[in-house]
Amino acid sequence: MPEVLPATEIFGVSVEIIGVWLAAFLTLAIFSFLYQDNPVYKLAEHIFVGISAGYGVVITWHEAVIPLLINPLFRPEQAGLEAPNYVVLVPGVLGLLMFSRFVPRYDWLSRWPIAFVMGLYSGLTIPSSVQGFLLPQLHATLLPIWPGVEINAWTAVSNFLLVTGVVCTLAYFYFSREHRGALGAVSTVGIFFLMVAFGAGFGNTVMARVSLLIGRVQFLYHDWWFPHVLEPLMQLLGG
Amino acid sequence: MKLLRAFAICVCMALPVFAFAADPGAPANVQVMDDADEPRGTVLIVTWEEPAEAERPADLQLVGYQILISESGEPFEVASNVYLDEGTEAQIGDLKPWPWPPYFVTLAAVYAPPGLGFHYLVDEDGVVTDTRAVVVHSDPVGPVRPQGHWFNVEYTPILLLALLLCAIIIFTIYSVRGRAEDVYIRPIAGLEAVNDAIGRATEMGQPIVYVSGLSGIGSISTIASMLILGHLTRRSAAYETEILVPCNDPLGMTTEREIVSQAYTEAGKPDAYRPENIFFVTESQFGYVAAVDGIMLREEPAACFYMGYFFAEALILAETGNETGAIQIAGTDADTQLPFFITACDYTLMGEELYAASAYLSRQPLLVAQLRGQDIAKTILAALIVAGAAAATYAAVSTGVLAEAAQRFVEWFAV
Repeated sequence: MPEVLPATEIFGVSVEIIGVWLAAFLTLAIFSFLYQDNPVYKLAEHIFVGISAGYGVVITWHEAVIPLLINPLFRPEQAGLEAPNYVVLVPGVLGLLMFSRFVPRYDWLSRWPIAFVMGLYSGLTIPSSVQGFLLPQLHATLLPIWPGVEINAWTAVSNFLLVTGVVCTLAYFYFSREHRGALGAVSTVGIFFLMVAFGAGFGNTVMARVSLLIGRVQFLYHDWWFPHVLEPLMQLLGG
Repeated sequence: MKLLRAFAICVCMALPVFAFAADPGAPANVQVMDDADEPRGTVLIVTWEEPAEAERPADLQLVGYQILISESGEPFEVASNVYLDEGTEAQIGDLKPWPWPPYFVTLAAVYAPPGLGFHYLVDEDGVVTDTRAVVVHSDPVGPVRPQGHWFNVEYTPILLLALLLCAIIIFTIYSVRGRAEDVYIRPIAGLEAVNDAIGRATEMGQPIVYVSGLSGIGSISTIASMLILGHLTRRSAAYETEILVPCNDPLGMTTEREIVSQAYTEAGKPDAYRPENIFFVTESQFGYVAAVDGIMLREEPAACFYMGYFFAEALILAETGNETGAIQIAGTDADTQLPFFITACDYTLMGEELYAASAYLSRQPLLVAQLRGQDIAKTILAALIVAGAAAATYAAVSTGVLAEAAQRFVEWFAV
């Protein structure tokens, strides 16, 4: 079968140029949402949702179904196996059970794969949370809070704030006691720590978002507006 | 017959051994042993001595070594290449775990004309293909079987902590049974407002939009979100208030349909259930956001709920919901997105409040007991932190046996 090469031109226009114009149009269409909902935004939205859903199906087929189910069963040599691996039938059948949703009489069968996935993830989460979050965070909080041989005054103050912040924030998330008296005071301090952390997080993320916006504006100017609009216009006007 | 079979197996096991035989210039004293520090039993350590100068081929220089490995009866394959400056010890990793098959290992010294580096001699699979190179194999060593451990001692703190937490939860479930209504749960403002949100939607005749995060059905926050969806739907179904649930996970959509359908039935309104209101959009993060934004602007919901794990889309969703004038209640354990929800939503459930919500709304004994158990666990953790900080401080400011013991206590938590 002859190899099909991707087209480089459509109606005499370079695919790259068409791509830039499309990207610029869709970017501006999405930005038009800042004014209000409009037909151009709706068009971009539907293109985006449709393409991403279709792309997701293709990716699932090529990255999951073929290499993890079809190849091990029917083309073992392509999966690096000497013989078919029938174990993959188990997840395969579980996946097929999801299609029972289309037959109302048997749609209860679709609960099996859901139960399997939820049970599996719940089971995996317990040890991984203890190993990945709880213990490392606990260990990172066990810090000296008084100046010593290798601990200077500032480090000690920083450690003290960290330990106090963690304990007070934990107290805020105590649900089965009324937040009064000592618990109320400690949890109020915890709220202060939370708000400071959220403020820092907010500022940090906003900066990251602004840099994304700058990237988009740079694309519009350097890749589209200047080379494809302004420059040809200047040439047309003899500038 | 058994004897014949045993003989045949021995011959097969020995075949790779005879494939190579030591020649002058081969690495000397090759030893292969299990990596005792690797508990899964998937790593072998190879040590050797450089070939004697007198035995090396004339006009060639030693550029490195090649480790070849064979699972008993199989041909030898290149496991790794070791450059000359990497010493005389190397690891063979990624071996098969349980039942830890035995291996034969041979080490080859690679010689090349002066000025020709090791990396020029090998192909992309690491096999020496350059004809100018001379490869001298040692005698095969083996069979060596990596030793896996059924219990990883390093992970003892994880096991103990997990067991402790589970024991606390089981104990509280046992102790709270029959009196869950009496257990105090502090008011959570966001949950108090749920009824107001449903009431507003009912009065206005507008739908409720419920978004259960983008982390898929396997995430604990999504499971918590689904529990909340069940309670919310049960209440809204009583007033036949429409609830729209756009989903980004096909499995999540199926589960949410089950939950909503069940809630309508429990509310005594099974006919009011409309499965098309719980629909799949796309798995793409921003494709999903674009669609939900459009739905919010066109449907003008009276209330929006964002419960679950969110990423960069949190602010976009909440801002759009705010534009429509909907009452917005969010809940997430994504600490990076919490600030945005706090800023743009009317009420926000922070972190563990999301998990507490289902217990608060339903008062189910199992959930209330879990919440109580988690509180006890938090108390123990806070006590451990205070004790650990005190121990670390003592270890930092003093010396002696007690200080060493304090340091060991702190280090016990390092996994």
